[in-house]
Amino acid sequence: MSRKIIHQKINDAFLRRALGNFAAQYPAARARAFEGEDFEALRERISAARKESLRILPEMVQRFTEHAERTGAVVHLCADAAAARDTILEIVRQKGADLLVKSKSMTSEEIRLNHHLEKAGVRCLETDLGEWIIQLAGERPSHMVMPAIHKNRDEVAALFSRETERHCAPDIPALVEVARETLRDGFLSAKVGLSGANVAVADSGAIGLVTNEGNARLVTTLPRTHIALIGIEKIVPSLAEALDIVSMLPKNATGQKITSYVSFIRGPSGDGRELHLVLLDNGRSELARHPRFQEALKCLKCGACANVCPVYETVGGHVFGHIYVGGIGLVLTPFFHGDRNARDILGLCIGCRRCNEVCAAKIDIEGLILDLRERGKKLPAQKPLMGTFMRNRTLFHAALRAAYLAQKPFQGRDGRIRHLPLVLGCDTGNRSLPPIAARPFRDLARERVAAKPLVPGERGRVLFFSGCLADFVYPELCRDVMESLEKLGYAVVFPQEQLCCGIPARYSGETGIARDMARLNTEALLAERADHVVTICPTCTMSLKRDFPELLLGDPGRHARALELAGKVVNFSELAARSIVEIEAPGEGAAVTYHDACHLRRGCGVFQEPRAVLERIAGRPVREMDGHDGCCGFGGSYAFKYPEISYEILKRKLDSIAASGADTVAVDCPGCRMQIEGGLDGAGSSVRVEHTATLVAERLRGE
Amino acid sequence: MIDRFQAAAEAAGAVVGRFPTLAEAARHVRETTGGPVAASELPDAVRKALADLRFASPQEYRDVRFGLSFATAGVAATGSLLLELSDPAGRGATALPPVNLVFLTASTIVPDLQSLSGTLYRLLASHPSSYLSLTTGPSRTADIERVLTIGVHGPKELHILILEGE
Ligand code: SF4
Ligand code: SF4
Repeated sequence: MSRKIIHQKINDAFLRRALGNFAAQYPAARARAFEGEDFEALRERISAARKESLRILPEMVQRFTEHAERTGAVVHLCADAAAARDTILEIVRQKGADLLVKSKSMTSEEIRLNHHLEKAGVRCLETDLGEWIIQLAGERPSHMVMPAIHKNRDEVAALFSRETERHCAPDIPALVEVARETLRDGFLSAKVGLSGANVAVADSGAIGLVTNEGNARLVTTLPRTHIALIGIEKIVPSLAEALDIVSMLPKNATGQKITSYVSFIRGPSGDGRELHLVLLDNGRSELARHPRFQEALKCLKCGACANVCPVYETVGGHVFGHIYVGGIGLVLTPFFHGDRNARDILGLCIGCRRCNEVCAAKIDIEGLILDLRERGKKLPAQKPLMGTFMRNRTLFHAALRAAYLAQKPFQGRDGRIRHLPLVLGCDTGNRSLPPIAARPFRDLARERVAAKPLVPGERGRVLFFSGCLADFVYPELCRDVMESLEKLGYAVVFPQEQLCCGIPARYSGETGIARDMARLNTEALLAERADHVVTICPTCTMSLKRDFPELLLGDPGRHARALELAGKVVNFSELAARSIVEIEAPGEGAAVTYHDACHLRRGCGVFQEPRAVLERIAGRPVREMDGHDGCCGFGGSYAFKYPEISYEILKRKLDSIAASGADTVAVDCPGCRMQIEGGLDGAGSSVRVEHTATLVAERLRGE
Repeated sequence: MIDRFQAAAEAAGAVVGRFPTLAEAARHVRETTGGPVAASELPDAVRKALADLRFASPQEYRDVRFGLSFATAGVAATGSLLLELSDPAGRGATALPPVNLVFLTASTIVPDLQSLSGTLYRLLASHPSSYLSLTTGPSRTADIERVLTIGVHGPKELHILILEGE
């Protein structure tokens, strides 16, 4: 994605405000809409039903077709976009029409219907207000549910003035009235109307439409011919599954309990009217058979994955997506619109997993994006070099040591790095960077003496997996971890054979390298007897626990060993929370605010433990900030690849921290620490950022 | 249940009135409308009670101010009305006029969407073709700057007349 476009979107003040306001209001509205409902149970049912329907997709299509035909509807099964467009054009021509009135259909965007019909001399009139606005502007939707969220009232007024050839004031109710009046003629004169469908019911041949504006009722009523364009994945077995979807959609999409109109249409409504159901395959059958990516077809197009995405909030849907936008847009684009359109955007995801948390169909959106990166990777020049470096511990670590010397000229008096020369190709984006330490922890570990436990009795043997960032940048944090655990009663060992967890390789689509790291680390960490393997970076945790067994699936022996290792891995705060001791320490420390690292909270489901550890071991009351679980914008190499986006996301975090009034931020991830520390330093703030382990160590040392 | 329905419907922007008899509801309709009305299928008793109204022909719907219909059921949790609109002219009567008046018999109100599924299932299966609508409040949009605006393409006002006595 070009820096220029990203820059332009970030500096589009209206877009930023519109997306920011919506992102701020959405979670509360959504929570209210789901009050008294079990979201998890609902999405579990939807996910299971979708999965089963996809498994028997051809049968579902056949069942739906049979029942729909019995109602007198005409069903057209179209293999691809071109076939669907031709079918629709043919119907319109048969009716002698040169105008098609449309209600909202993302599927028609997918096949670029308007463009092709207009070329064939058929005028398309979008009647959903948002769709009409972007049609007049000649743009594409920037959100699946709120297509014109990027347009403000002045722009809309200018578009309407041009279209109606009279002055339209930038007053929202007046503009809505202009749309009502102007589009009426279209509804009343058109012979053919086209709608989408939110759901299609196999055992009755009915389709369901979930709308607010009332235009769908006009589109399906006034013209005597109604065409519904339906992706075949929308077919559900019966009304029960359809009602689940109807009940989910508005709540998850915009935080509405129910939309103004939910309609079930079965068959043409008599007196010679026609109903054409155009079923679109366009690669869906093939995708439904794919063992991994079929999951993407469970999507209900509710748009929630965009609503919560920090990158979407920063750059909008014209950057973060293609035709389908948001997290799922990144996933669907390669399948529906080709790898060429997907290549640029797949890298834009920061991996925070907020989308997974809200997905109406329980899709592992973030995981699919990662896997697609691997599929689409094209980095031949970098690959051999990176591979050699990463697999070879001595070489990799030697390179990091060399970097220590290279950074010298750029360090400020306090050692931090505030400007890097542009030749290094990376931009710190208003943040300072901590220096690489003179001696990494792996060296210091050889010399250190274990601390004495505070209470008698040994709790168990722990291997400490530090992760590269802490090892080379925050060696004192590593020391604090070992010391805290020892004082809490554990025997702690730092295995010298440990390597990078492989996440940076996996995030750049280098699965081969990641697999080697999984193999080598598994061997290194199982070589010594231990009860636990403790991590202090939740991204490492996810790699060790989730990715290693997956990466080694092809080799049953290694896979079993990876599972054995996975069973031992815990985050520092989890283990500490199990080991809370009564310690004698003077009074309570100052309050801290807590930042939930994305991969700890949503990747590992850990968020209570660090708070308990802070309050009960470190003696620091936690003062929650707004948006405590929002991403900090780090995302590993992301912060360097897309410094502007990263910084915009960080700014929101810095504001919340400042508003909390706490003078210390606790976090359980060295990456978040580096990012937030750099941002605070860049902004001249004196707030301190520490890993929970450091605050624990301070207290246990009696500081 | 009626109270819950009323609260939810009002929260969705509908105007709710409660009437002890059909005759009183009919009188309210007559007083409110004055001119001709567009109507979807109405039970005979209702048509009789409103015999003195002038019912517009579908060609006139565009210029008629009031649309009249009779709900099959109500949903208390969301304040929704279940309308059977299989006749296209009747559908037009609910979609084109700016003000919609809908009769709802109190005894047909069910607690939530799930309890309506049996009825929906039956109605979907009973005729060769059908058009069912759950309508909640007037038509709305938030497509410009996310500002909620009532009344886009559908009705700007939805009045629900609950018949409590029948
Ligand atoms: S993981 Fe985060 S950044 Fe990536 S698509 Fe999901 S919400 Fe957006
Ligand atoms: S991926 Fe999930 S959250 Fe995103 S639009 Fe689809 S169903 Fe909604």
